[in-house]
Amino acid sequence: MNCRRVMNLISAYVDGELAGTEMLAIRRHLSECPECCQEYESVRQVKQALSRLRTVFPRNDLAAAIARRLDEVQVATYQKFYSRAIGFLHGKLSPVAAALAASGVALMFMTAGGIDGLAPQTLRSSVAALGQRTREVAFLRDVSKSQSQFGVTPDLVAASKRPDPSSELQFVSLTR
Amino acid sequence: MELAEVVSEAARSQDRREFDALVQRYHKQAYNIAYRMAGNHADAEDLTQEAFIRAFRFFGQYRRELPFDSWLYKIMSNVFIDTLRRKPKVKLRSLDQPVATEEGEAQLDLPDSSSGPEESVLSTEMDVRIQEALSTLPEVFRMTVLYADIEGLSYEEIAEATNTNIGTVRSRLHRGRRLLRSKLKDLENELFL
Repeated sequence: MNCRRVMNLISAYVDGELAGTEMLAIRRHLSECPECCQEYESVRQVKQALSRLRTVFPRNDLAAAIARRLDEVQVATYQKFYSRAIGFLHGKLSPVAAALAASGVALMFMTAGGIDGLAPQTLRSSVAALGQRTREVAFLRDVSKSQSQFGVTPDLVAASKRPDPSSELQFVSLTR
Repeated sequence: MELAEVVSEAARSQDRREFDALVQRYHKQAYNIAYRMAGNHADAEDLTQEAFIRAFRFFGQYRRELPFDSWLYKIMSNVFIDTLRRKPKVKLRSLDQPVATEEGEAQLDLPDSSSGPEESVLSTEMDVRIQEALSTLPEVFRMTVLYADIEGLSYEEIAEATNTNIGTVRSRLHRGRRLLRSKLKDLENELFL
């Protein structure tokens, strides 16, 4: 293993995040190379200094302040239903299938009894969001297919399949 | 409609009770990491509150078999990127200015020479200097370094929390630590014992 490779892996080595063979190769290199050994010491010392930072505490009533803000949070009925459905289905289906199924259930719920209480704008957003979700799924399927054809890493698809609670593209967040 | 509302409200109160318990349990830990990300108490509080509010909105999607703090960090990372990066860069503080502490304002002290290497917590001055150095790092580097070195998350957990892959985590950590080291060069005798 050359110095350039060792330098790139040194942080992972310090963190114990390397596989056995890489770890042994780096350990052997460090015993022979003063320059890389210095880099190793440097990374280790920074890590140690950060771990010695004091813990910073919030004011005593922060939890109460959060609770007060939570009291004001309104989650639309169908959104709660969607969240619970997707949470339930997660263990049973793949993430995309769970999202599709939950969207379908939420739409059924809205049309069966939940529409009356919804503002027309909210409803339009929800239907548009469902369409968006469907397009995303179709896109992901295409990407997945083309990636497997060209041997590209499936990271994008894997990452996109995971539900992202903070994404503004999420179906559930569009009605905020 | 009425039945659906009753069922939904019951589930909501159950969620709320569960969520309140999680707030009680995790808010200090979340605040600590938020402070290190944001660099000051006001932004740390906003970041902590906003992360919990957003987590509550999506609480139905939280998979109970996973650690709550990892899920919260994922949300907090996104809130941090969404909001704080639009604000002006953090103000650098002169060492002559008083420092806000739990007990009020205090002047920075020189490192206590009686503290030996066995002292596990850094002096206030060292703490402030490291915080200043952290605040100069690009946000994604800062988050990655904090999750690894303060929270002790694995690379896989950091990748999940910051919406990226393990290779990127590895690269950000290495570059982040090297940047920190260069910023703290003048303190190496005191810091790196």
